[in-house]
Amino acid sequence: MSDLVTAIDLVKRFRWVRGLDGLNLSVPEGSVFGLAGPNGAGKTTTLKILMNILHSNSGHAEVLGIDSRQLGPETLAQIGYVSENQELPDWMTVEYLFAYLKPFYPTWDDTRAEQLIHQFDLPLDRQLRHLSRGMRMKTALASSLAYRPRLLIMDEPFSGLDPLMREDLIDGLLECAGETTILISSHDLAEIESFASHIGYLDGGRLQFSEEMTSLTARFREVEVIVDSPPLLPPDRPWPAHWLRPETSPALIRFVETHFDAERTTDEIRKLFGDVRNISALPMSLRAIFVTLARDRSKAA
Amino acid sequence: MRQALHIFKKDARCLWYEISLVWLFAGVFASLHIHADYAYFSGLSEVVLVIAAVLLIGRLILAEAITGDRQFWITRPYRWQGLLAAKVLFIIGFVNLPIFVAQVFIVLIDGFPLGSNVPGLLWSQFLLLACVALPFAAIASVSSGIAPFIASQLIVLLVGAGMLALFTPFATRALGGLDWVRYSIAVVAFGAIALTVLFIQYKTRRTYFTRCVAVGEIALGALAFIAMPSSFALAVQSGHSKQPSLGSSIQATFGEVPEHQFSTGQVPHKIAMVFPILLRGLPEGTDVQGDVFSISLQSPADCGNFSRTPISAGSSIIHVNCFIDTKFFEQQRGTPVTLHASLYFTLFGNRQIQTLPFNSDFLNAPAGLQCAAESGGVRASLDVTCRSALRWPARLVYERLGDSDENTIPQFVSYSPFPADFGIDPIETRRSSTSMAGRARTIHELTIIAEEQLAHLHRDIEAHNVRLDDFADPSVRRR
Repeated sequence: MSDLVTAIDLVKRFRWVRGLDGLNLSVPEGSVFGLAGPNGAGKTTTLKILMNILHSNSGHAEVLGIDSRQLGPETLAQIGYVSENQELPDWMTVEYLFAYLKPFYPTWDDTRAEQLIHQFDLPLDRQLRHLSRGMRMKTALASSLAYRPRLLIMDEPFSGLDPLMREDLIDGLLECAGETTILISSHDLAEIESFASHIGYLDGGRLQFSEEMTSLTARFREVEVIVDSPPLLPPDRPWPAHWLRPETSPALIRFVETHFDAERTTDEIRKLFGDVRNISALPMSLRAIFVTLARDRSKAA
Repeated sequence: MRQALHIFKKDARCLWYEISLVWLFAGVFASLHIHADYAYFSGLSEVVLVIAAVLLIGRLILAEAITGDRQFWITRPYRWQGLLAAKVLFIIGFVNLPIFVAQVFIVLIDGFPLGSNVPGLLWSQFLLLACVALPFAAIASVSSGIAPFIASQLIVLLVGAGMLALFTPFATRALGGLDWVRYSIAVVAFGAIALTVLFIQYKTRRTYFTRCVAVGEIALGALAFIAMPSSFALAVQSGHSKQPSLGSSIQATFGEVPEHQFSTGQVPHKIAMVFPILLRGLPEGTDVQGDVFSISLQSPADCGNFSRTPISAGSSIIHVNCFIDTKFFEQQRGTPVTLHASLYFTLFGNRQIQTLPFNSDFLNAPAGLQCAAESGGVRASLDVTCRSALRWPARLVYERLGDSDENTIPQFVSYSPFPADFGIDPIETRRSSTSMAGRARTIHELTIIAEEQLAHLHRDIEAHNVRLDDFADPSVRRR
């Protein structure tokens, strides 16, 4: 599977602030890639550089095999971009927006457009300025899916939407997943978790990790160890680096295992604490994984 | 081109209200021209029309704003060439066209022939495009919204006015009829700067870089405008001489200084001087007009205002008024000096004469003019009014009432070869007024005389052992 998006050592400075600090990213074709990270991590900046809206100070990015700085109309006709803070032509009605956009896209599919309008229940005769935030996002998404783009880039599409709207948007995305590669940045980890095939975690302008969703959720576990006597870790034996947020109480040890393997993790626990009464390893939600990572990073900082 | 037309249609649909306003104001401007009583309102409507057109241009460009990173269109497959072409097409269709139609209406209403004025009408639109529409489009292209666009205009106007005030004293002196060369540089500079800004902005969307380029270009254009030497203007103008060899026999020397008081007005800290230049060997049937005079003094001399007095057949004297610094004059007045001067002048000839009935209605006169005459009520004067379509002809025009002397119609004659001047009002009107108390009833005819430019010439003049005192106003000389 080839990568539709690649970024190598991207650096973007805003005056004295580093927005991106050597970002490396690969988005495989056919994936739904969720880009997560705290506020100010550089998610929007990354997407804007990929779309040639911003220029990086150094590094290189390619989108659909083209240098992102050289993205021309031919390439943009294969890319959809939906952003929470994009300024839409408010004076247009939904119907006119679709009619206006159609000639720009050789692959525009009228049947698909009608289907999306019906699916998202878009009011054709209403001006965009009179639509709610959710309806505007749905209109933007529908207008970006009607030409069956190879790549769909979405920047915080769920921000500020009610659950029903989110559900509608996700349904729309799921329908095009597969034929369209989706790169989506979001704070809403629960939503991403429900449909992303890959996940990248961005913090401090760098991608901290990027992997398949199944692999990520498989390697993170919240481990609880019940012991008979209070655990005493020898001074020359620190906590393993891949155990995050360790907590101890007289009869309980709790930590997050970031490289979970049932046999190996059990061996490690027994090596450190001897015989223990019980070991439980619970799967973690994406939200819980990122909260753990974010807190660990801020503690380290 | 298909994309350009597609965007053009979208813009027309989006901006129909602003488009209607421009058409409305163009209509009002044309309508007010019919009634002479509403001349003031006609001027006002012209200003309103320009404001409406500029705002339309701003809204048009900002419909797909170039600056910023949130615009919808920058992530869509727009071709920059198509987008720019759509905007230019829109400006031509909804800014130039209404003004063009209004101008055609005015030209026709005033009875000027349309056919011979089409080049002028088109040239006028070209000037509007190059000097107004495209520069404002360029400003809008580096603005992030309508408020910054308006603010940018104010800043540009203030900076422009400041530069004029600052640099005018250092600029070469007025070039008279040759000034069109300098203004042509300005038009080229305006158009080139605007096109460069639009090209870079639409192609690269690098606003900061574009602004830097624009500032550099403006500085270069201003420098070229201010520092253009008179010799360059004459070299360009000489190329347009109809009979360049005509003035080969003309000799120029310093002549007699008049003994009567000068009527040059007063300038603080300056002394009024008159340099009389005697021209001999003027070809028969020609008339002469001074254009530019420069004199080598250690202190700058501000010269202009040429007056001509025929002496005999083939000889005329041109009096050039100059102002020089009082302090410098007082230091040098008694010292014998050698004066080096240059005079640029134009020979006119091939008289066209037409006699019209004394009538307050405009009648066709030579050189594409229309003239009317009427006796003024309060001042008991006789007024001759002539008007011309799109520009005043590049000719000397005189009027003669009955059998009185010829009287120059107050004019600045531009030797520009172009068929129109910059402006929206297509009619240029000039008036000559003569006090003729009691004679009005005896005058039944108005004669209009027009002479065309034949040759543009230049002579260097030198005079030894002269004193500046000799050229000063008699009242100063006696001190």
